[in-house]
Amino acid sequence: MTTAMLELHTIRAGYNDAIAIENISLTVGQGEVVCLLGANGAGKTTTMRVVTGLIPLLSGAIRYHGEDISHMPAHERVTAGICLSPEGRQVFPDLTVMENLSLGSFNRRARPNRKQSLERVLTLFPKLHERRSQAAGLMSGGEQQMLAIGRALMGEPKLLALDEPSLGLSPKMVSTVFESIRTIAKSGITILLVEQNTRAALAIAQRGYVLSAGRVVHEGTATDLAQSEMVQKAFVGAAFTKQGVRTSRRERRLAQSNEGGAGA
Amino acid sequence: MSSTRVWIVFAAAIIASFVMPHFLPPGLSDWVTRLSTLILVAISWNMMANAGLISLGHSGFWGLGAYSVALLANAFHMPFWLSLIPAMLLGAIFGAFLAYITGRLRGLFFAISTLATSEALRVVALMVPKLTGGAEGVFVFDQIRPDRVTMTSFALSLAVVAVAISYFLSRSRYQYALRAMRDSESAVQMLGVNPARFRIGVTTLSGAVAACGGVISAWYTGYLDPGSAFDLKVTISAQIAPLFGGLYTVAGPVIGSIAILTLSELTRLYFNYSGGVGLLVYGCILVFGVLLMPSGLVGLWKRRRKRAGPVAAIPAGVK
Amino acid sequence: MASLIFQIMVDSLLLGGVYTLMAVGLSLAFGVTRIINFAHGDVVMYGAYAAFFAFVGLNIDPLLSLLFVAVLGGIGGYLLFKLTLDRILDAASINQVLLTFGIGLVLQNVAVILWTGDERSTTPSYAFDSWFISDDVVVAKGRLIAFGLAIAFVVLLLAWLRWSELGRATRAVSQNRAAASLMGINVRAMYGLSFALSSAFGTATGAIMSFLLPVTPFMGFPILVKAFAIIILGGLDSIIGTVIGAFFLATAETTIAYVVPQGIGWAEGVAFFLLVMVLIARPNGILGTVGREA
Repeated sequence: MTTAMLELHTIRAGYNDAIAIENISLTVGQGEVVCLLGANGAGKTTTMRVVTGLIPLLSGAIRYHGEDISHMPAHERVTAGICLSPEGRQVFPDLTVMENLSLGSFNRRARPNRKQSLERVLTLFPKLHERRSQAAGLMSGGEQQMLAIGRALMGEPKLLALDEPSLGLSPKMVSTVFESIRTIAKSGITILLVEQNTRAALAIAQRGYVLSAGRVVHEGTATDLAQSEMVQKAFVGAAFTKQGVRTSRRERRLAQSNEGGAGA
Repeated sequence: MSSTRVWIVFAAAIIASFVMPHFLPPGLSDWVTRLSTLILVAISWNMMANAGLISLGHSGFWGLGAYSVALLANAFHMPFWLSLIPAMLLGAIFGAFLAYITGRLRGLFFAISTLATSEALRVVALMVPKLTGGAEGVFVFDQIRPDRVTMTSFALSLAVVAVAISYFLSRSRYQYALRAMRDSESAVQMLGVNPARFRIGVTTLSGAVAACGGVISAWYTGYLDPGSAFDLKVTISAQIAPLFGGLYTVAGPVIGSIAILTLSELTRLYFNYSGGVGLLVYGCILVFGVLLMPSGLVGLWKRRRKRAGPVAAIPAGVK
Repeated sequence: MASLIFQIMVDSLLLGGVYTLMAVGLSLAFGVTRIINFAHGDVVMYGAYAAFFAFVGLNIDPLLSLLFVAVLGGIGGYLLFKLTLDRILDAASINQVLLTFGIGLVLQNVAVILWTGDERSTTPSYAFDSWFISDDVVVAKGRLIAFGLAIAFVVLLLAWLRWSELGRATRAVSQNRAAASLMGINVRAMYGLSFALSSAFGTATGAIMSFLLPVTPFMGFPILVKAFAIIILGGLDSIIGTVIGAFFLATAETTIAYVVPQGIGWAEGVAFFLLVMVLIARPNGILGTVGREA
């Protein structure tokens, strides 16, 4: 039986006077990879922001290792072990890759182990080692994504939160990044993953939740979700948007490379 | 109130402002004149604040108005009512200049620019004695100065006109644009208003109105020097009055001006008012006002108005 | 002619150092908190008075009281932040402008009431010495010392920002506030720290200026305007830009002072002129990225 590491109970949150998510409940167990799926604007990123403390919750509760962290400030959650690779990467543009990574281990729990963490991250993302003295703002999208994930890893997370790691990346980059995520998952770190790329997400997750218009509309194991009609519909629906068309082609190529190439 | 009724009220007020001063005792007459000048700069400051532009250098407009009187009146023996025109022109140009240099920049740049520009004007006034009398100042020739009654009528009627302008502006189609501009200038574009041009319009009009205050002051006191013409006190009073009486409203600057002036008279009578104390009190009012009002001084007035109309509010914390 | 140019160069250099110190605090605080402290000039003024009273009352040389004055300034700045700005961090910027402006007023007029408008200055011996480099070029000893100290402070700051843990965190906050909190950085605490540093540098500048300028409660205003011109010229969120801007302004002022008749009076207006030029031509400044409407 997996012990729940993170529990969200009937969370409501939003921006100013607009509610973005309502009645969100989910759990993430120790060592699991759980994904949040849904179309643009469904509330996935808002949920992430509530989990990491970037925006306050209006009602409901968040429990982490059984402890209520609903009102814990964001920076303290990092020390507690929740590290986020945010949507859009959000690297520090005028700092070098190394400086970005060092900042990742700013929190007092991770700081003493900075050297070891750096080694691990640079082994996982050799590209970052190559670019270590470069200003982060000058790197490509894929490299920045690796940096964002690496930076989150530097914080020695117990729960690694990844918000849309595939956003704006080429299909090849997406598979590279997801390879790395799979490796991270294998090392035992719990992962909460938000993704629009349903196929890639379900390929590495054990369980998932589907969000739509700010609510959880479906949940289940990855296999269930992959075969469920609702997800298919959502997937098909997305295929008709501009993003969706690209997505479906990307999906196909990703599926091809997954089937043809070696598994991680 | 219907439009015609409003016009009648204002017309009556203007007539009253020419009639009433004849019946006022001299002390009260002086007070009314000073009040009128304060109302003018307060309305002017309020107008700019309405558009999201914080002026920290309103004394610049005042000083321009005052000096234009001193120079032109002395040189050409211009009658006092005529001197309004070049003064307002200067004030308008100065206002337009400020809007131009800050273009599409954030309100912060506007605040800094007003501060710097008013200071620069003071330096110019100081450094060109041939034109402005320099540090020694300049006198407005006694012969052409109007008598007290005329002065008060003049001042009061100008104040009424300013209130009228402010009133009609608030009822015009620009009122939504103004409110939107406060929150975000990009929202304004959605309403079909060109923010840059709008900004220039606001500052030009504001500037002209504020310059009138300086004009009256010059005629009234008959003497000015760079220090007093560009006095920081002018800027402060112009801010405090609307903040006190009601930011963004029409009546606010008027109410606030009356309150401020009465208060300063009382403190002068009872506390042997020395230079620093007045400004210190003003500073404290600003500080505590911002801190203690739930959403700052601005928020107090914002909450009252929240019921009226939709505003495109951009969430502050969203990245 | 050549010696005039050389003299201008020397004086510009020396002045530039002090101007850098004067503006860098404002720049740092803005870069991190995005708040412009309109009371900065008055903070400098308090530093000058502190040095003055230490000199007159305790016979301490301003250079010796410098560190103490800076620490006092830092503590004062932090307290001021905690009591006031910290409470309105999420407020509309109009409130922040009015608040810091009001604080400046309070500071200035408390000084007026306590110490009157009379001019003071500290008069350490080196304030009067000067060296002759060549036949016609003079270096005022006081200015040279002021320059040295100012540069030392600025270099220390830059080194701290570049190499220390907190310094790096400070840079992170100024580049991306949200991401910084995701690193475990307490952004609010960093705000307090940068304000403390800003005030420390401000009061240090005041202490240095106490033997260069007459000390009055009103000295803060022109200092504020100059600091504005400098940071806008250099770019609001760039410290290096501030350094460049400072030397630029110093050079412009010095040149005007020497070359134009009655130049010293006009030199005060150079800051404004520069400010307007920058706003028209390139509002981001030389190295900055903050300018366009949010």
